[in-house]
Amino acid sequence: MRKIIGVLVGMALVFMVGSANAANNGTGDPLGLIASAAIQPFFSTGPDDTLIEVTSPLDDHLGSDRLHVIYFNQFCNRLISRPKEISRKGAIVFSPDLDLAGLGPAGNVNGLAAIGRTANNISLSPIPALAAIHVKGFWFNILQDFIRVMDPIAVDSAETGVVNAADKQTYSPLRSGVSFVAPQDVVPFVTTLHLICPNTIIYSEAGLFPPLFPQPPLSASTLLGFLYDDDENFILDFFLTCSCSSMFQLASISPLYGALAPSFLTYTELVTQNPVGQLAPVCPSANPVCNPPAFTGYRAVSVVGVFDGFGRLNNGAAYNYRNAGDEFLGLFPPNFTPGLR
Amino acid sequence: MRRFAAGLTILVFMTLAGEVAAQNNGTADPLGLISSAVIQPYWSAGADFTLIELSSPVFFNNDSGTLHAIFFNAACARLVSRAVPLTINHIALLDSDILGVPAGNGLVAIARTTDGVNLVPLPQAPFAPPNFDFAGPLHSRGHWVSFANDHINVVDPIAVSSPETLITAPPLNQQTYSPLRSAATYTNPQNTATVATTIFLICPGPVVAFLPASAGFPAPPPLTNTIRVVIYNNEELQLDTQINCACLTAVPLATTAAFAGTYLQLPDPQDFSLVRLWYTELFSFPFGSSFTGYRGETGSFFFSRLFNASGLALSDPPVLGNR
Repeated sequence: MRKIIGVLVGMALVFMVGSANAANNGTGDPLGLIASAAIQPFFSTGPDDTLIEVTSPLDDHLGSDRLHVIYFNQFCNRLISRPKEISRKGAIVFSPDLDLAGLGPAGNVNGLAAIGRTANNISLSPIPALAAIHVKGFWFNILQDFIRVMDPIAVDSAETGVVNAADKQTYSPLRSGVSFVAPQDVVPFVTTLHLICPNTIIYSEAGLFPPLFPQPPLSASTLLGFLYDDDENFILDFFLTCSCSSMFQLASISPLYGALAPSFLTYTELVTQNPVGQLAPVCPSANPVCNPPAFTGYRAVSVVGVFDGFGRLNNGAAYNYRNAGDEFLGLFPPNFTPGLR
Repeated sequence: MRRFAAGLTILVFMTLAGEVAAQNNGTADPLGLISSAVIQPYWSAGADFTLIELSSPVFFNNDSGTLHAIFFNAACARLVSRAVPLTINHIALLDSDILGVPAGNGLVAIARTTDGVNLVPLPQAPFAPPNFDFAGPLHSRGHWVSFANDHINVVDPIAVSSPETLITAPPLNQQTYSPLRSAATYTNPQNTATVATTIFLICPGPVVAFLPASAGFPAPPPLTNTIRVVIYNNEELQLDTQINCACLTAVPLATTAAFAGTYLQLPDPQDFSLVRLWYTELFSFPFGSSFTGYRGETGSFFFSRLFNASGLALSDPPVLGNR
């Protein structure tokens, strides 16, 4: 009996390490099938233009089941909405510039497009899982000679949580931490961050309410940044305010982004909370680590007119970025907790 | 004592039950944290080169079981390997040209090694059982630079394990080999003298053989060497054909014989959408095996990973949830 108990205790401990946390943490692939709705950033000021591509591999979106696109500006203020029809196995491309042209200067904006269905032409209704879509954005700038491909935010990753509802991933890739590498922000290099922090205005104006839609994560507004040189020396911590769709050139965040020679590269972590020293939480609970504010973003590294490298930011839970190893000397073993957003 | 044992038994069975119900279908974001190993495509033929960007946000990866990158060519034949030690919050750019890798395209497998030859897994977390390694998960991505074609293409990796996705029973109940799926889709405009679309298919079977379950890596999904291609124009089926996928395979849409010049035609002139596009679905053959890929446009130099899905999800009626 003692041997059996020993084996059972061992198995329970092995299986419980880091366990019991909510699975829905925004780790779904945004290039997979999207149900409920998609949120697609767009950039359409001045010489910028964005084409949004939607394909419908599973079902028609026609007539009363047509798609509906609600445009929001960079402050998440609602502008206008447009219907879009697409057949099964069809592809459509539409331009926020053209759709917003009637607004005059007020439509010459960057922002977010929320794509779902509608029952009243005002708020969104969910895209059923069996009619899920693919979405991607293409940001053009003829003057700067680039085309940037932008992943969307998947409100519901349709192929997750099918067997076990606890596995469902929503609002991917909105996470509580991101990280990026960039060259020093000195001539000829220019690195810009494009941070996407959907707020309660967009959730409410688009009608993305439970129970029809998944519960959105908390909105991020204040981000904490941690800058390292390319020899992993900690250089600087700072705050950034992210308001819906916000852009920062690294040199405007701190001149240190251009003054770290002989380092050529910098490494930065941005998080919405800094839970250093906290023991692994068991979620759900009132511990704010279990329900952190969430955001995403993109990084553009350019030599203007010569080359342009653009991609979505790497992501992780703020708890794991900041707590697992940075406090290694004070917290042993270092914590790493799966399942956190 | 018996109650205690019974309670433990129930706990173990509940935990295992969650594991049985788990759904590992490769749907994790490859830009999240990666454990076990990374498989990263690279292009370094001619004047092209690829910078592989690694970062170690969670923990050290520079002990005696240090990070190790094994380079494979486009046929997945092993070339050379190099150590890549990273401390916590450390970054590295790997350039295959500088590292002495023969010029060409291919895949890189990045994990740990204890003997400088064979790979062992990156742990799910620092000091994770059973080995309690002094190491942690990574981020990876590639930057494919081509001066001749005037582009920097950002290349997402394949995440052999996604340690933040597990739910009830680590390390078994989590997403692995994301985004290897059984289907992919893409759109493209008419191919002309100035616009040429190329699909880059990744079928990493021989590389995965270097990541054996016996060494602690997750079991890979069935992998494929044959892709069924179904081309639509304005929602109408135009062509159903097959192509080969051998490790890293470039498929130029204009000149691949299996496409019979389809993509050289203007998509349906009755389609009045903003941009007339071909829409194509790729399925693995045999059905249910896995692959991934990218789409590049030479004439307009944009590049991105393909949309993905389960092949069963794209069938009629759709069935969701499979790889």
